[in-house]
Amino acid sequence: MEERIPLFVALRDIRFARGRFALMGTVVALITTLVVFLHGLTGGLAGEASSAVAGLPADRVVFGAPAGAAPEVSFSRSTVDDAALAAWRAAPGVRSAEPFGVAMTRLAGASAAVPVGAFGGTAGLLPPLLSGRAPGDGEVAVGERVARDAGLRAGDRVTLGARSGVTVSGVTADRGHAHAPAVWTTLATWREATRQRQPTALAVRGDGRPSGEAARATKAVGRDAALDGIDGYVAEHGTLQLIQGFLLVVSALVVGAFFTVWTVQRRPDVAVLKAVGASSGYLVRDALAQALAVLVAGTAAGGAAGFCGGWLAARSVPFELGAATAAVPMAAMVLLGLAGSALAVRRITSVDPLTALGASR
Amino acid sequence: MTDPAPLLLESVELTYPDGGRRLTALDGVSLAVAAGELVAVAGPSGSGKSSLLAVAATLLRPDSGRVVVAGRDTAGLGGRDRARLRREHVGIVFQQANLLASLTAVEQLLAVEHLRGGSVREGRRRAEELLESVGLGADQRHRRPHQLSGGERQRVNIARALYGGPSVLLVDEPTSALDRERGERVMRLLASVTRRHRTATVLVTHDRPLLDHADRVLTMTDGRLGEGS
Repeated sequence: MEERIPLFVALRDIRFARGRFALMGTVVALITTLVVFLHGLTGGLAGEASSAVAGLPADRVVFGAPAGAAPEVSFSRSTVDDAALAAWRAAPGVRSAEPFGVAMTRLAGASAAVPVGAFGGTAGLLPPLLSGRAPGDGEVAVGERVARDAGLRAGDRVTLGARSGVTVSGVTADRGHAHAPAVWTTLATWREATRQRQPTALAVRGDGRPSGEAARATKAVGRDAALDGIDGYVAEHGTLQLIQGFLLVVSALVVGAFFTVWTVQRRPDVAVLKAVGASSGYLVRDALAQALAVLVAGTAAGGAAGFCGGWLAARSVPFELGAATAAVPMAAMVLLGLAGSALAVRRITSVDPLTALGASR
Repeated sequence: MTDPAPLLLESVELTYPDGGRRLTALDGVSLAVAAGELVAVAGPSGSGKSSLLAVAATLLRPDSGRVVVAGRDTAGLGGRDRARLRREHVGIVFQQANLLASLTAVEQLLAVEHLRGGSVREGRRRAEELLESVGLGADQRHRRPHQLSGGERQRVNIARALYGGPSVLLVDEPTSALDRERGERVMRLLASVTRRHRTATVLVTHDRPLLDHADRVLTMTDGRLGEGS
């Protein structure tokens, strides 16, 4: 019978010491706001840095290297020659291997110029077209944002890197690469615009791989792992995740410290409850339920504030957050806070009920 | 055939470590308390009165001897079982009222109901009745400890000890924080509830003028229990 969720004393303690618990809940809420906001910012920055590569219709991305060099997962250093392309296309289990080029360059229209990540490849690699058609040679498809910022529409003439007289063929959904909007053209036009001779990498479908020299000269990674090949992506993403991790740890420590002090203050009450027959398990569950109530309330308030703040900030900074993705840092806040509380309230088990009979004996 | 005593101690020995040697707190103590009987144990500080109470409450294990509470030998019981035994059969009236600061008078009793696994909603009526029976007015029942007088807190303390319907009631210096008149009233109340609730009550005190209310008075000296005051 005693195994039900306690909360009888816990909730009344919260009501009685509402100032202290409100302060703790506010701290949890503020940290949650920060974590959720950073999570949304991480998502937004990741989208700007990697959505073009992340959206490639490929199982794996194959990186190459100039003769004599070891292949690396890096879009700025990788280059794939015709022999490697042929070997990958011929490899058993490989359904398709499409070469594509990636380079940072500049797109200049009649009224504005914008830095872009220029992708060159087949029409099959293109993100969804919103208007116009896929680019042919001498043409480029631009994202919505580029079209809006540079005042472009299908049929306009632009200069893409070193290639002038390129026609805008259509507008695609927005994609980003290394914090610049992505534009899409054919491999031949990409070569002219960027003055590159070889494509950067291969977008591969299927699970086979070639053998011999082609295997040694190339490195294939899953599409998600290929994001690490975008310049600055790992450092930026890692830094933001590290900050979030620190915040979660700080939160767990703060909650743990609060409940340590609270448990010490409650020792006389705990001794009395034990003396009248409460088991340590009942009292630990009561204390954890109390911590959970504070954490859930604080996290919910902080999460809502983070959402609202992010919605407002999204007008000036990249911010991407859905309910499902926000649930991850919020659940982490609750779980780590609970872990911190558990370390604190374990002291309940060591309270001697004999002390309830007084210290004079 | 007479009913077995709800509280029975046989040849109980209890020692505490004291530097390099052991200090004897209870020295061959035997005591049987019948239902409806109020036994007062008097003696100076450090004589072992409170150790006797702690052993009877199953808060301390004796070094040797038997402690039987509500017909159950406590020797082989683990911490969980001893907690259950206290919950179901033992009421403790603490020296300081030891009420929980966040709970009203009624809630002090309902907390006991909750940890016994009962329904708090159904227990409310019984809690109100019990508080009324110990003389706590309707106004006071929904006040927190800091809003009650010392005598009122002690009445709540007694009602809480009685709430679970214990067969053994252990009372620790109940009048030490009260003036003469209030102490007298609390003693009368304890004698009354012992008869009414048929509890085997052991009361330890050094307040000899209050012993008149007891059915039996025992004296504790250096851990030994003797008859008479």
